[in-house]
Order: sequence, then structure tokens, then C-alpha cells
Amino acid sequence: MPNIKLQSSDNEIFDVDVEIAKCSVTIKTMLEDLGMDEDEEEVVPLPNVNSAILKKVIQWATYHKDDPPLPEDDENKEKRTDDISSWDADFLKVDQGTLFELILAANYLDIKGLLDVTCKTVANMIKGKTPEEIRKTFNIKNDFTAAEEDQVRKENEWCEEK
Amino acid sequence: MSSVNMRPPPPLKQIDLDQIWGDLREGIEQVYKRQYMTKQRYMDLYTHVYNYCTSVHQQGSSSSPAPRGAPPANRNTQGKKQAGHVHGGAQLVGLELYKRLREFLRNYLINLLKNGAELMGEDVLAFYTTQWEEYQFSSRVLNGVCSYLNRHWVKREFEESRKGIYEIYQLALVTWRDNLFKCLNKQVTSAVLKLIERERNGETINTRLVSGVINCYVALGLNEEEPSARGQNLGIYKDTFEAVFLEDTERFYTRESTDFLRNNPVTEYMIKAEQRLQEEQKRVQVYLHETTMERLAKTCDRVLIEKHLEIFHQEFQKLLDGEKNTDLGRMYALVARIPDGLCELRRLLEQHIHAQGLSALAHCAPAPADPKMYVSTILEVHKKYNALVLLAFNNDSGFVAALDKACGRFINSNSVTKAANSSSKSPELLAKYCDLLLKKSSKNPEEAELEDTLNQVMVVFKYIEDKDVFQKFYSKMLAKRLVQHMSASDDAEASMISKLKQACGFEYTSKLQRMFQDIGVSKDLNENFRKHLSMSSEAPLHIDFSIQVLSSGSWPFQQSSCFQLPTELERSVHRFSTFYSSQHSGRKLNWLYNMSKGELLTNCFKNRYTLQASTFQMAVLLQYNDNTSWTLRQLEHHTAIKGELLVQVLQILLKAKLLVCSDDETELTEASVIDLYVGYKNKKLRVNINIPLKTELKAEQETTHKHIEEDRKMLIQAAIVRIMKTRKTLKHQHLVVEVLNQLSSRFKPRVQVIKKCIDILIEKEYLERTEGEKDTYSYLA
Amino acid sequence: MKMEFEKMIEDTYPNQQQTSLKTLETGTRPVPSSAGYTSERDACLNYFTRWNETDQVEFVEQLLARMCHYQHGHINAYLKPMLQRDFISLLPKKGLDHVAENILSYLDAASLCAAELVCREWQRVISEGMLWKKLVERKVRTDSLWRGLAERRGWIQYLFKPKPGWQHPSHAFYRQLFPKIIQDIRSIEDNWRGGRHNLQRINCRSENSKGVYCLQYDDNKIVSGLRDNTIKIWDRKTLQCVKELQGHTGSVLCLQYDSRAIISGSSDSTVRVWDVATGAMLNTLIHHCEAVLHLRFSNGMMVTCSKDRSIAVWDMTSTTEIMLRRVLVGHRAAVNVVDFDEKYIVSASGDRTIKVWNTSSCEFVRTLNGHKRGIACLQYRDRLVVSGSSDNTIRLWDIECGQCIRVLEGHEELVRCIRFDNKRIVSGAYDGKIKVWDLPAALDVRTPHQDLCLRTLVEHTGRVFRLQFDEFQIVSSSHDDTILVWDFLNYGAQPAPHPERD
Repeated sequence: MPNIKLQSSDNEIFDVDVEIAKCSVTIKTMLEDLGMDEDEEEVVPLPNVNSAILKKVIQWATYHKDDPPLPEDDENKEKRTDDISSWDADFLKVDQGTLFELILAANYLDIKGLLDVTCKTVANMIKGKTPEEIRKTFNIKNDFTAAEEDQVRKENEWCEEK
Repeated sequence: MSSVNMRPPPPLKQIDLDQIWGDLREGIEQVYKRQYMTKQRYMDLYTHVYNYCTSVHQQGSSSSPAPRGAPPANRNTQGKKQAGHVHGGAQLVGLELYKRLREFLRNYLINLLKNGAELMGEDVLAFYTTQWEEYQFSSRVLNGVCSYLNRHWVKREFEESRKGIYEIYQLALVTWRDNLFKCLNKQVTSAVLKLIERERNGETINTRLVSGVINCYVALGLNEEEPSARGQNLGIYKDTFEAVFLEDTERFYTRESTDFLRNNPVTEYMIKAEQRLQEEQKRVQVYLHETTMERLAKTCDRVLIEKHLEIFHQEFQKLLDGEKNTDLGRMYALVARIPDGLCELRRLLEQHIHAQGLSALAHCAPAPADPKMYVSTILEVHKKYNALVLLAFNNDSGFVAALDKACGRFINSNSVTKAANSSSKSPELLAKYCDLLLKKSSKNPEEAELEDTLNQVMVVFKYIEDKDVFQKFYSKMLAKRLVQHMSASDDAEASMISKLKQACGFEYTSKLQRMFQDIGVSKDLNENFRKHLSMSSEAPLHIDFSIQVLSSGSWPFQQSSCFQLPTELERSVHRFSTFYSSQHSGRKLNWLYNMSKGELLTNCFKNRYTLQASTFQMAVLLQYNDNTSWTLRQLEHHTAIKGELLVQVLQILLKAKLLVCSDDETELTEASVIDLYVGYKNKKLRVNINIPLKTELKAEQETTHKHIEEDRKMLIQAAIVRIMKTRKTLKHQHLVVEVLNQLSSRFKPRVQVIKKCIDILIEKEYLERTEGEKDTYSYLA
Repeated sequence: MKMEFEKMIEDTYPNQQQTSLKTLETGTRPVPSSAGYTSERDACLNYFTRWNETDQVEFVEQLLARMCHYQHGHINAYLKPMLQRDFISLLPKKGLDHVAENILSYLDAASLCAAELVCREWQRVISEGMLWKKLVERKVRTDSLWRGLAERRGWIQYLFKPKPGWQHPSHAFYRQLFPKIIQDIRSIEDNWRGGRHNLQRINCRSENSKGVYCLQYDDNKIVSGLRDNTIKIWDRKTLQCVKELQGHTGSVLCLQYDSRAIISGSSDSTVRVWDVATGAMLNTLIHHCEAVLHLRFSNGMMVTCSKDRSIAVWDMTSTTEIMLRRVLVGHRAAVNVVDFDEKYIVSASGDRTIKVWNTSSCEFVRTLNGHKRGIACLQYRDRLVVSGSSDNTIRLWDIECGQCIRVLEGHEELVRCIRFDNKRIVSGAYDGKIKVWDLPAALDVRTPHQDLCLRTLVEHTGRVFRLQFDEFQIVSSSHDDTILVWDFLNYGAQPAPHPERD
């Protein structure tokens, strides 16, 4: 299997199996557009991804390289967040900063599977929490005035009575 | 650098279009000049687009939320100029870039057009196709570079049903359509059509020029209503090219076919047409769009075939008469392309086969028909046309039906049946033919050949309407073969029965099968009887005696006229009757003397002859043990055989020259004196004098036909009751249809008879006429 | 390159951490620092910045190892917020509003309410991302109750892609719409439990033999099979008979239709196929030798059952090409009802048993025993079979293990018809009564028996022969020659929540 050289923003070069690199639709499209020359030494720069994150991304892509292609988003299915595989869950046990960077990289490189699972992970961090708990989770300051907060709370009261 | 407390608040990512456009534009120009592009350069361009699309503009998105309900007024600098009213989510950046890309493509194409506007013929095609190919390729790369724009900004525009926004590749196509195609398509299309006409006239052309244009036209078909829909819309191809092309085609072939037919025979024309159709099919495969196939084929079919159908029909009869099978096949293949075109051919074929069948059978007519000749004549006709249907007409179901219909018609009604004044002549002859095949004779064929012949018989059988008549005759003759041990082969008999079972079902052959069983059982019975006799204390019988016990329901035999059993046989009959009733109490044995036979050894002649004789003959002949001369009256008295029958028995014996009489054998009276002829001579020592009696034969046939009528009535009544039991009430017309349906595998009931049967059932109170409803019957449980 | 590096640093610490810094300064340094501290510290830091990343990390680890637990606590408190990210606020600053919206679109209503109260930026993202609209749309796509309500109440016009040239209302509209829908759903649920309904009555006015044996409905029509041998089609709006299909010579005992055909079974022992649009008879299947009591079809396959004790499985290529595939025998009395899916065919008979057969092989699988008298009706879906019997009970069965999960008692005569969805079982009996049962409660073994029957509906004056229901209504037919529509959606003069746009 031929390899491809990916270069991170901090100039580290990763030698990656082309099939793994093609998890990124961006790279896949590029290879289709430009053609794939054999034994090419040409480096593909990824100016928006640093080496620490690129390493993680490659790790994820390597594990998922044989996954069947993702089905088109079926809007008639419920959006679930409880279907993260245990490998992905372990893989995403990282600090929020890394998770954030992974989201950016997945978006830039167009890796739908990774973007989905990272977004679900963040959603799970929000789900079922009170506003205060959410603020604590993400270190957010409450910038509502008391009056504003009251107003919104009142509007949302219907949701409490169960 | 590492100082934590010096970290500034995170700045918003701000990238103005002008910052990246210069470099991006250079890159895109590189793409459209088809210069080599490195992966690094490609990623740079992609990243430019990404950075632009994800740039955020000041006026602080951290500012307080907009008043609820009002669209956010912030973040509306360049790239987001379509202020407000966006409800699919936050606005994305992209419009400005999109506009510049559109402008770039437009300018590129306007420049390009300058080089092509003046060109004509093949030059314009060469120009158009080369440029198109390159443009298409470059636009694909551009699309890849802009994929982030497609993925987010364009997609969002689609979601909000914004008009006139396309994915970048589609944008490239639209721009081509509006700037290049619109100006050049007339000359390009007409150049393509000229090229095709030249090919039709036998020239070799550069098909790539045509396929290039066609590919372009197909690709330009965009679905304007639903730009995100992937499915192709062939509008441009159909409108600009296909319609004109089909008109051209029609004109071309109208002229060609009329000219050709004027100067050549139809058979030649068919070869030409076939060839043209193939050419056109190949044309679509090589350089047109596949959807054209159907319309093009229809156009060609109409012009090349449909318009000349009448000429074809006239030719068809000629071809049939001349047995030109290859030409018939060709005509079939051509006419089959026209909807409903084959109807007339089928009709002509049916007519032809019917006429051929009738004329073939006319040769068998005047003399009393010979079953073998009759059947093989039918088979010959069938075989010939079956082969024709199979080979020339592709075993087309309509033609098979025509063959079947024609065969059915001439087999059930022809000069032979008319001579016999009965449509049941055919089944009778067929059954007789079977008998010929299955009866022991010197001419019995080999087993394999016999099987083959039986299969042929089944071919004819399929067409026989009165299958019940066949059954009657067949079972009669089978019974005789079995009783007289005249069957050539048990295997062949079984095989024939299983064929009939396959064709008509279990019920049809159940009696035939039971007959076989009876013969088997009788073998054992004789064995047991012999054992019984040998163990018995009574005096042994002095004659060889064997019997067959046949269950009366299955065998088509009638009880014989009674007579005085010769004393020589009486004891044997008695012993057996006793033996049998001890084994099966409650069964009644009726003796079929007319079916029985025996062998007599003569001591009165010069030679010792063995005479194979019927029981009646035996009864008569045995009288001459006591006296060599009897009057007819005396014989009648002693044998108790009724006068007329006795006369016939005597006639045969007189003919055989065993007996003599001074009166003419046709004018025997009670007083005629009949003497034993002691001078009897025969070359053979075993002589079979057991010849069937005329009256017997005739009576048999009459009763057979009478039975058939009665059986039919019973079958019809049973069918009516069966139908009414499930339907409860039914209109007369429906009932008749269902009855006809159910019985069609046996015979064709006459409506008149069905009506009679309904009346019988009403009388028997199975049915009643429904009150107040016309022509409706109800079932009475 | 330099710019790139800075950017990376910024990216790594995007939160403003001023609060934490203050704590550190005031909280951890009660003792004034030694004299040389400032200059020494700066020197250290100077060195530090010259090292590469790996060395820097190793150095700090060394430092940490030299500190006490109390100090570790403070370092931890200092470090923790540095590792946190406010995703929802930060993503839009990266131009990735759509990603923030995507994250929020995974939330349910309660979490979305909470998210609105986190801070102004979150509230803004939710508003601009139209997340309440998206939540409603998702509900409508995935939940038949929501879908039905959206269509019936008309607010579906505000969802999904606007018609070209139209514009949808603002976020606030959807935010207010959501609780109104919830309220509407609750009141429908209350109507079911309270038996509050609007009743529509179709009187069939049959001439000779009265009674409606079977029916099926959709939004526009009711197709009914009558004892007088006809099939009648009724318009839902006018309640008038718009078509009458004649052909059967016995009562029409069962029917089903789809977008192409009506297929009916009759006591004349035939099955007939009709064009649903024109009413023309397309096909007659003569197979059973006694009355055809029930039939079901879907996906090119049909199953019919008969008084002749047999079940027939048919392959349907088209309305005119219907071939008998298999005959299933085994029941020792009339087979009153069948149902099937890709896995099993289920049949119930007067012989008191339910039999399960394999759909693809048509082999017998198992018998469900329990009813004390013949079984008249049954429905089967997923793992659940619900049956009604002449022993006046309803039984729930697990088809996989053949276990009877629950017996519902309450009817006082033969239970003739039964249907269930995810929430309810509705049954009709020979005494004219219809009962509504709580399905989830019935499946929970802890629910006491008396809590299972939610309501008894008494309007029919004769045997209830057949019923069908959905989230909003029951349609039932009876020996009393009427078809009743029990509408729980539009009870009384209750104003339907039909929010106005601002």
C-alpha cells in the first residue's frame, strides 16, 4: 500500500498509508483531482493542524480505516448520542482543549466520522445538566442580568413540570 | 512567549477576501491553464478557501444577543451581505468568493469564445470538444479546491431554497452553458448531424467528435429547480440534439426505404432493414446517450417496418408457400418490433396450417381411415410447423397459440371426421393407433422407438377435444389386451398411462391403473387356486383351468348372454367359485363367457389339431363328441346359445371348414343340418378360430358412444353441484362459463346439454331458480 | 512561521482566566516574597523560554515533584480552567457556527432549556441556529404523533424548507411553539384517558343483511366490507358513500388496501382484488373451499385464512399475478385471523390455539396455548402478539418464547377485534363495548390489574366487528350497521393551538 507524507503546521512529517489518509475527504478529493503518482516524495502540508492533533487524527483514522462508509445522515432517525463505541469513548478521554482541536481538525480535513463522534461527546457533556452545572463543566461566566435570567427561566418553566 | 498572564483575549479570526483572492486567483488560473499543480499548492488553495469561509468579522459576536425574534444584525460585514431573514442557522461566509469565482469563469469563457465563434464544420467540433474536455477537467479541480465552500456555504444556500446558487462545479457548467453553449450550439449541432449523415452514407468519421459534444450536452442538463439533486436532467441534450437528430433520421430512412423497395425484392429489403437497425443501435452505444435508444429504435421501426407492413403481409403468404424459413424468421424479427404487428402474421399462419392439415388428411378420407396413416399424417403436419414456429418464430407464444389453434381445428374436424359424421372419430382413431402400437404383433417397434412414438401420440392427444371418448376406447382396448395377454410390453403400457395421467390428472387414468392391479392379483389367485386343488381331497380337474377376476367397476365389459356351460367345464367353474367365495365372502362373481377362451384337441381328423376357440365355439364343437351331425335347432337346444348369436358362431366355424352345411351359410334356418367335416385340413397344427363376432363389435361401438353421452351428463351435473356448493347463488351465464372451464380438459360440453343438466338438478332439488332474480340459481343444501 | 506559532498558542488557551488568576494571587500568597524573588524568577523564566517543549515539560515535572500536597491543590485549581473550553462560544469565533449548532442539535428539550440559561452567547447560538425549529422538525420526522399533529394543526407549514419565495418566522416563534405542542399532546392524552371525544356516525343503511364486518381508513376515506356482500368507500369529510364495489356473492368478512389495490375476503370463499382508484375488480382468487375469514398483505406477499381450517400463503407479483406459494395446515377449527412480518406468520383459530410459522420457509414454529375458548382476533408486531378470545379475555404473548405475559380481563363477552400501537391496546367485544388499555403498564408486571383498563367506550348497539386507531382517533364498525369515528383530537370547543406568526 503506498504511503503519503503529511506535514503538520509545526513542520513535523507523518508517513501515512494512503488508504488511512483518505479518511479525510479533503485529502481524498485532492488525490483524485491531482492524480496519485507512484513513489512520490511530495509532501502535503496541512497548515491548519499541529503535530499533536495530527497524530491523534491519524491514530483515529488508522483504527477506523476499514469502517464501512458512513450512511448519509438519515434525518428520519432520531439523533442519538449513546452510540459512541467504547474505543472512541476511550480515545476521546482527553482534556477539552484537545477535544476542541480535534473538532477543528476534523472539520478542516472533512472527516465526518470524527466530527460526529467529537460533537456527540461534547453534547453528552451538556445533556441532563442544570445551567450552573454546564457553566462549571466548561468554565463559563453567567453574564445574564438577574432580570434577564428570570425572564428566560420563566419562559422555560413548562419544561420543569413533568 | 510563555507568559501566561500576558495572554490577550482571543482575537476573532479575520480574513478579508482581498487577502487571499490574489493568490487564489493565480492558483485557479494555473488550473485553467492546465499547468502542473503540486499537492502543496493545492492544499494552499484549499486552505485559503477554508480560512476565508471560517473567518469571523468584528462587531463582536460576544455582544449581547439580538432582541429575540429579530435577525441578528451583527457579523454582517463582507461575505455576509444578505442581511437578515436567515433562519436555517447562523450565516456563513461565502457569497463574495462565490461571486468572484463566477466572474472569473465568465471572463475565461468569453475570451475562449473569441477563438471559436467563426469556426464551422469539423473545426468547430474539434474546438468545442477539446475545450470542453479541458474545461471540465479544470473545473473538477476547482471544485475540489472549493469543497469547503460547497460543503457549508452552498449547502446552506440550498437549504434555504436560494435561487441561482450552485456547487462550484455546477456553476462552471452553468457558466459554460450561458456563455459558450448558447452561442455555439447551432453550428455545433448541425456539424454533428452532418457527420452522422456521412457515416450513414458509408464514410468513416471521427466518432470522438460526436461523443464529445454529446457528453457535453448531457452534462449541461442541470436541474434548475433542485440544484442539489444529483439526478441528471437531459433537457439540453433532448431539446438541442435529440429532437433534431430523430427528425433527420426519419427523413433519411423514409427516402432510403422507399427507393430500395422500388428497386429490390422484399427479401433483400428485409436484410437491408435488419442491417440498418443494427447500425443505429450501435450508433447509440458508441456515441449517443443511452436514453435515445428507445426513441431512435421507435423512429426506425416506424419508417423501416411499420410503413411497409402491407408489403410484408403479402410477402408472408408467399414465403410460407415457398417454405422460405430463413426469410420468415427475418420477417418475424422485424415485425415483432412493431406493437401488435404480429397479429396479422399469426392469423395468416393459423390459416395456412389449418389448410395444410385439411388437405393432408383429405388423402386419408374416402376409404375407412387407417389409424396409423391418420395419426402419422397429422403428426407430419404438426412436426413441420412446430419446427417452423420454433426456429423462425422464436417459439413466440402467439405463434405457438396459432399452431395449437390450427391443429385443434383440423384434428377435430376434417374430411375423415366428416365422413364418419362425428368429431369423436379422431379420438377413436387415436386410441386404435395406440392399440396397434401396444398390442403384440410382428411389427412391434423397439422400446426406445415405441416410447418416442407414444410421445408423438400425446402431441395429437393434446389437441383432441373429446378426451373422454379417447378414454373409453382406450380402456376397452387395454382391457382386451390385458385379458387376452396381448400386451407387447408392460413398461410401455405403464408409460402411456403415466403420460395420460400427466396430461389429464389422476382421475382420468384411475380405472386403467386398477385394471393393471387386477391382472396382477389374478396371477396370485391362480397360483393359490392351483395349490388349493393339489391339497384338496377331491378328484383333480382334468383340464388346465385359469381365471382372471376383474372388478366390475373398472373394466368396460358387459355380462355375456347366458348359455349352457359345457359339462366339461362345469366342474372347474364350480370348484373355483367355491374356492373364491371361501376367500372373499360377499363378493359376487359374474362369468364373462364371451371373453373366455379355451383350447380343444382334436382326435377326429387326420392330424391332431389344437383349436384355440371361444367358449361359445367350444360349446358347439363339444356337441360333436356325441354326434357328427346336428340340426341348428338341436344345437340351440343343447348349448342354450340364443339363435342369432349361434348363427354367427356357426358361420365362423363353417367358414373355418370345421363344419359343413348344405344350406348357404347366410341362409341358415332352424332346420339346417350341420355336420362335422372330418376331412378338415390345415397347414398349421395350432389353429386360432376365435375371431370376434360382427354383431359384438358393432354393438360394442354403439354402447361405447351411448355410454359416453351418459357419462358426460353425470360429469356435467357433478360439476354444477360442485360449483354451486361454493357459490351458493350464481347467474346462469356465469355457471355455464365455469362448467365449461372445469370440464375443458375432458371434453367440450354443449351448452344445450348443460341447460338440460341444470333442469335435471332443479328437478332433483339440488338447485332452485332464485325468486325475483332473472337467470339466477341458488344451491339447496 | 512566527505568526503561525503564535496562533497556535492562542488557540491553546482561549478562555479568559482572570477569575482564577485573582484567586491565585490573593489566596496563595499571604506571605510577602523574599527580596530576590522577582529577579531570580525572571532569570528562571528566561532560561525556561529557551528550552524546547520536551525539556520544559520535564522541568515543570521536577518542580511539581518538589512541592507539597497543599501546593498541588493550588496548582490543580490553577490548571483546571486552562484545560476547559467553552465549545459553544468558541466555535463561532472560529467561523464554525454550524459545528456549535450541530452539537446543540443533539440535545433534548430539557437540556436545550438549560443551555439557553448558560450565558448570552449560548442563547445567541441557540437562537441563530434555530435550534428549537430543528428540534421540532426532528420530532416530526421521527415521531408519528408529532407528524400527525403537525399536519392536523397546520404548523407543518413552518417547518423544513420554505416554499420558494416564502420565509419562515423567527426563532422566537418556534421557541414558543414548542411548549404549545407539548401542551396539545398532553391534552390529547387526557382526552384518551378521560374518554372525551367527538363522535361521528356513519349509518350504512344496508337493505337486507345489516352489519359492517371490516374496515380500514386513512385521512381521506374509510373502506368498509359489509354483510350485504358489498364494499363501500366513505368520504371522511362528508361521511357520504362515494363508491360501492359489487362482486362478492357472500358477506365481505375482511379487507386490506394499499395505494394500488383493495383485497377482500368473503364468505363466498373467494378473495377478490380491486383497483383502489377506480373500484374495478381486477382479480378473483378461488382457492379456499369455505369462507375467507381474514387476510393480510405486504411486500409482495399475502396470507389468507379460512373456515376450511387452512391458511394460504401467496406471492403477489402484481394485482393480477398472485400465485399460491404454500398452504399451512394444522389448526383443528376455522382459522379466524392471521398476521405476519418478515419473520413470522401468526394465526389464531377456533381451536383455542395461536400458531406461529416461519415466514420464509412456511414451517411450523410453535403453538401458543392459554385461551380457554376459541380466538377471534389478534395483532402481531415486533415481539408482541395480542389476542382476543371467546373466553372474554385478552392475552399478551412474547412470540419468541411463546410465553403469555399478561391476561387482560374486563370484557363481558367475546372479544372480537383488537389493535395496539406503542401506547395503547384497543379492543371491541360482542356486547358493543370498546375498551382502551394502557400497553406499557400491561407489559410491566408490577402494574396492578385494575390500572390497566383506561376507558370503556359504549356507543355501539351491536357486536363490534372491527376497529382501527391511531394517536388521534378510533374508527370502529359493528353489527348495528354503523361505523363510528371517535375523535380524541378535537374534543369539545377546545381551541386548537395554531400559533400566529409575529
